[in-house]
Amino acid sequence: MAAKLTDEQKRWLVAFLVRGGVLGYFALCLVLVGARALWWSGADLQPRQPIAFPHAVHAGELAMSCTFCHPTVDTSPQAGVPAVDTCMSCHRTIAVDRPEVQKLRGYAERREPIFWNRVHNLPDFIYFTHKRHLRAGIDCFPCHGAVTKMTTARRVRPLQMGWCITCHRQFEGPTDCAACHH
Amino acid sequence: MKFIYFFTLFVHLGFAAILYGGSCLALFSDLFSGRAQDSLHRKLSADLLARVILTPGSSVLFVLTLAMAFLSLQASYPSVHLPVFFSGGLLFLLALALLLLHFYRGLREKGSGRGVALVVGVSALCLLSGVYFILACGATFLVMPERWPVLAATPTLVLSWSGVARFLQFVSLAYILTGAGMVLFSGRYGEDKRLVGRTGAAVALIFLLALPLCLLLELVNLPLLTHSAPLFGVAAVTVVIAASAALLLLPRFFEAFRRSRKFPFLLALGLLFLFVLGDHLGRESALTPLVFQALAAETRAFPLPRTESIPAASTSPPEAIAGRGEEIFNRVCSGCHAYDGRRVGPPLNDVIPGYRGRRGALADFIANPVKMNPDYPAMPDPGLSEAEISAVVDFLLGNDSP
Repeated sequence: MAAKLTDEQKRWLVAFLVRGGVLGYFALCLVLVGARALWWSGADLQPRQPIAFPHAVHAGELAMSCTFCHPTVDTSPQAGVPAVDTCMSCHRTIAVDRPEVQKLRGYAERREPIFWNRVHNLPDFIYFTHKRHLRAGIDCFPCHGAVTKMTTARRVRPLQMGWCITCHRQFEGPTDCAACHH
Repeated sequence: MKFIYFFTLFVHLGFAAILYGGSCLALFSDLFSGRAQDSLHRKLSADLLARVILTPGSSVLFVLTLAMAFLSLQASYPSVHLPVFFSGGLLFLLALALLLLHFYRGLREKGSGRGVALVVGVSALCLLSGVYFILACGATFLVMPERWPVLAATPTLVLSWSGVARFLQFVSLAYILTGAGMVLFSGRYGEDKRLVGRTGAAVALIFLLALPLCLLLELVNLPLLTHSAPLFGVAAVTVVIAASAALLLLPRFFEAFRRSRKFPFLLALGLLFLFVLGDHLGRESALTPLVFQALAAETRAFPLPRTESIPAASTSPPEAIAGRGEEIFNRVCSGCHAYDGRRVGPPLNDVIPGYRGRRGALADFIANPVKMNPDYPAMPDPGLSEAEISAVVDFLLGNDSP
């Protein structure tokens, strides 16, 4: 049997419990903010790549056409990443002393494909095709940002439905669900 | 310019929060004061109004800070193009709300027509809420540059859930600031000081508890691109400061002992600062130069060949390929060669004339490239079939017409 609490002790207990409750509430909120932050960091907008390929040099300084390395962009849903042989067609002779180019050479000698990390990804239930967008006269930049200035490729647009719809409405693209969802 | 925007926004929102929270509380205490003219609630209401409602001169200044915020926003992001009806309309509504609040205060001071005064007061507060709701939504709208040009055509696009969350945060901050302000000034109320202080503390405490929920709602709904580590850091600091402000205010309920009355108010100002800072950080990470360069790129820097791809060489008879030299050139050669300037390889206007009348030499070179010019890297083997090479040579030497 616990001894009866005095009034003083009761007041102290109430104050203690209330403060503990308030602190606990804020601590819970802090944990939730942290959880949200961790969840966000799962969406990596600028993933590390197996080879540090600088778009700024190839598409920017050298002004190579996007289609040189992404040849199927105007003929298929996927823009496609270049085969190692495409890279090697130039890099057999160009900049062969750079460490990243030597990494590329290693892939070519081992006849091993490069697993680039995807920067622009859509959910499985979305049908998106580059071909149609290019045929409609849309440039690469509005969706991919100023790739010519990017050292490591980075996603700079949201690629979310509201964002798609804004443009589809503005330029009278299809807005029925089945155009993109399946 | 961005910092001028940041600063004017902070100053404006500070005054706006106190104005909004104070007049809301005044209206509520007026509503529940009953008929008695000299009840404490009436006195408190009149006093709050006297404190938070600005003089006509400073009201004009207050509206001008918002106008200044709009102008500095326009200057920091030139491609925003705020429609006049948007900024002008908001300024007009804000001025109208202030006018109505003055009118309400005048009516209450004369002590005439409580019903009419309440109607005027409530409509003033509705107007104020509307203005700051649209502003809060506008902050989210701002990080979606694709939507800027269509604002005039579809004004409803401005609304968003994260805007709602931001507005709720503003309301909480308004009550927190007002409550903390009541605690700060409670010493001036003589015998009523404990009651005023406790009312202020209670109001501030309730909304301090609400603030983290609104913050979480905003974090869940914010566009992905605004997220950055500093943004979440600011959110975490906000929760910590709200917790310490709440603990500071608690003793006023359970023990009558006094602590500094200034601290809760300073912490509340800190919360407001973090609110504006979070908004700024989100905008900074969403509206990078990469985005603006992309949006400004109206001319097509790299013309994409608008052609059907040609069939693979092995499956096509040579006669299907002859005459398609331009397509092959666009697909294969144009990656490195332009006519008028240096790319990876030399400008064709410089080298092609040397092959005039030496068709075979050009075809041999394309079939087996060797290093020709020390200024350029050796040309890689383009991997074309004989028929394709012949078509490209025809195209390059201008014998393309059948």
